[in-house]
Amino acid sequence: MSADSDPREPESITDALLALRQGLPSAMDQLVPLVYEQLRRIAHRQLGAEAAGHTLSTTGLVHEAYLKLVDQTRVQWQDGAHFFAVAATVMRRVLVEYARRANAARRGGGSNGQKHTRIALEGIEIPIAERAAVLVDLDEALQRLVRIDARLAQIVDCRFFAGLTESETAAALSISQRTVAREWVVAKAWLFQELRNAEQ
Amino acid sequence: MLSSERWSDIKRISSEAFELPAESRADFLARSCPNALRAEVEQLLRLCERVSSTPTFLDARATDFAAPMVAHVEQNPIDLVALRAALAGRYTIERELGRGGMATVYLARDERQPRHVALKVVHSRQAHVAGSSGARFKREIEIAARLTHPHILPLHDSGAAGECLYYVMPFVSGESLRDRIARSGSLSLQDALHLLRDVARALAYAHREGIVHRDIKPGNILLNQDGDAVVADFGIARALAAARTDGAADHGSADLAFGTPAYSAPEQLWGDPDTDQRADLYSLGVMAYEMLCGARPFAGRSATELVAVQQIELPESVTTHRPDVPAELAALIQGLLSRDPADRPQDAGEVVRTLNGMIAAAEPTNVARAKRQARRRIALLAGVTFVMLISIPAVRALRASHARTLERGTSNEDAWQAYVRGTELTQDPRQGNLEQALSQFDKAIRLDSNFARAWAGLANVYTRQLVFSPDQPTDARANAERAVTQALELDSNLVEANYVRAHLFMLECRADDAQRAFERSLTLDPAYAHAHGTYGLFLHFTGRQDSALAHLRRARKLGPESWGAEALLGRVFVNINKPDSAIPYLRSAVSFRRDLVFGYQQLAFAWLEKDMKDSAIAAMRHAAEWDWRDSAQLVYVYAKTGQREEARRIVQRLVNTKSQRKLPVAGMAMAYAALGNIDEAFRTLERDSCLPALGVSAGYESLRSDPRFADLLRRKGLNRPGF
Repeated sequence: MSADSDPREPESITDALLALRQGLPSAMDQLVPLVYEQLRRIAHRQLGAEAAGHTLSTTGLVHEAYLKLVDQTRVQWQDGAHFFAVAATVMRRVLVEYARRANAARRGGGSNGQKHTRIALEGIEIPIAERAAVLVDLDEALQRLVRIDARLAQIVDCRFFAGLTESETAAALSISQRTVAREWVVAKAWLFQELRNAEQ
Repeated sequence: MLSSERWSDIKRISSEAFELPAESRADFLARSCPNALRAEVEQLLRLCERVSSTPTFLDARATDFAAPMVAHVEQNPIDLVALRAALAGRYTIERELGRGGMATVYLARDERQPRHVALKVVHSRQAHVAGSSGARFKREIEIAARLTHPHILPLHDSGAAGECLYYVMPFVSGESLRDRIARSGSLSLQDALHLLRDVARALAYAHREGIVHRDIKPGNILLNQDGDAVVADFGIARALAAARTDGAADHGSADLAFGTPAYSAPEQLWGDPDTDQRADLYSLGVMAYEMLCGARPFAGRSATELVAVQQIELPESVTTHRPDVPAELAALIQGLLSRDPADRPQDAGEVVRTLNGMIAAAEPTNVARAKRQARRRIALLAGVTFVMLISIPAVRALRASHARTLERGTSNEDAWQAYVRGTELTQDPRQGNLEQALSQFDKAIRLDSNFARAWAGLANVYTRQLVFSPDQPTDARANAERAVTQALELDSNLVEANYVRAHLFMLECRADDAQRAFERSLTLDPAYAHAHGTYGLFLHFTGRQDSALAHLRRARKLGPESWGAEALLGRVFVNINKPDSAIPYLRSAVSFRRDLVFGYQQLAFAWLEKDMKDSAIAAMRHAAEWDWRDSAQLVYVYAKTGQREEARRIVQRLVNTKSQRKLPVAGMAMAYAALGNIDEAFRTLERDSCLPALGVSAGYESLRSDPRFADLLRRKGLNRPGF
């Protein structure tokens, strides 16, 4: 009996979202670990199953989490936007956590453990170790980016980590779609530079 | 670092420029961009153009980008580096024995007792280890660890290591019932009856002790070397459930979900809080059905379907698939599979009594029983997949602690510790370890001069010096003889001492004595891996290749030093001209021990046989890097690959060396032979009193046709029957 179907969980995520709308400061503290645990479970099941030959669902994990975990009858659209904004950042943590574990496993596999990140930009086949290294480097770059431009980092979380569309990102962050489009290009450009520097 | 304000300006100007047509951007910058920002704006603009024209990984979804990586982590659920670190000083993981959805089983060396164990690590997603859950797991599992029964696999130890919960069991030889069914489809009526009774006896005992298994299935039934069933994982379900709950003593429903749906009773699938030991009897029924029919009742239904199907359908009778099943047994199984627990036999003891009656009826004579057992043993020996092995030392180590002095052979704790350390060092063939091992055994003997195992350990180290050290310390042979004699005087039944004696006889080319001593060692302990390994080598030297391979494979299965057995398996395959069989073993051996010079040398021979010259040279060069005297074998490879000048140069360098250290006889003879200097090759071979490998080793082929070779074999005692 997997915890996905535990009937208590969605209610508490929904409750946390409702509390967030009412401005309860502790609501965010409640929400983040709940969303983390659920996204981790969904990633485990979805992406782990992919290895066994199943195909990845066409909707993003974050969308799936929203549909499963948030009681649609009780929330308004702003609550959903809040959820996506939180889930996008949490999704980064989930995937970076996997990346760190993949790196640890690689070190255990007898490799020399050297860090050699290459950002494969032309969509060629990238080895697992490099995917992991790229995600860890990306996370570190985003932590630097937050200090100079927090919104840009949030846009990366929404567009890349949560796989949200431009309009979904705009709704989640309460900004215009045009801003999202413009800033997303800048974010990619900045990260391109940062990751290239990390490589050298 | 870039300030937020400055960055904000750079971003704004770059974005505005980027939204313009490409040809207008330069003008725009000239008009609107302050010079102080110009370089950075232009750089960012170029990058914007770059990422817009060529997609980057950021244009994929992160989950798609990460999917192969996540899948990899999910398939390798245990962080071995962290696990090894957490277990350091307690257990050393040697290799993986098997992996299921719930846990991975490793062969591990117990650092506190010289034994091997099966260490089962629960995948972290099965039990989220946090706070006190590790302690709860341990407390629960200790209840199960009190069970002692011939058909229950004991638990040695348990705990939390980093993120993982683990428990430790004896290392058991044989296959699981799962493997057995997979291998042979259904079982004979006789075998099924006996195995069912074994499991029912285990259940009857455990249920009396108040412990329900909750996960009875063929994968948890191990078949030992006598073909008896041993139930593994008793109490694990409850312990895992305890680890998962939040500390509230509410084990009621949380742990019911545990189990394998295909074998679970309806009430267990439903999560009925009144589920009791009768759920195990239902699982026994499913297993009985599968043993006889080769498939489970309701086979092919998904877990969710099962819940419904069990409620509305009854399984077909066993006899529809197996007409030879007696009505009484079919009725018993149907009873076990009753939907309502009240309709099943009420306790496992009742099942045992029913099975006893059937077994007595089916088997009127002892002759039949003996035949059945013989057949079972043969079937087991033929088994393809040995998942785990119960070694006799492991079983021995299980006895109660008051018997420990008897087991250890000394009552002196410090002597025991020195012995254990010496044993470890002996098995780790790095430079200097043998010397350290000697001093540990010396220490153990100083503390307790009647400690026979320490004497045997000492003799073993001296023997290894003879084999591994090219210097062959002159008194090593005499020292080995003295120590092994002492060990045997103290305890003539000590397997370790009999084994070393056999090894020494072999090195002296005393084939008949060696044969007897090896046989005696293996009679004393049929699961003594070292004896299997060296006996395998002896059989190889004496021309009995099939038996040699069988014993080496057994040594590899038993561990420790599986890598050593692999290297020897490789050597045998090389010498019987089967390089393709040799290479996988040798690669595995050298991947485990990167300093295994011998393994690289054999790999070189194998690749040479396959005419892979570059690989052969690379392997031999690698071997020579550890000890320059091994360049002698490099000469052979160079000569064989047509690089005779290089070969001659190395020989000259070896011969001209002023070192006091001896050159390896076999290697130098091989080098001379490969260069065509047959006389010098024979002169070199005369220098060693006995080379047991001479008759079979690769590298001497150009000498074999010479009459002096047969003469040499005769004079070294190698041409007698047996050698």
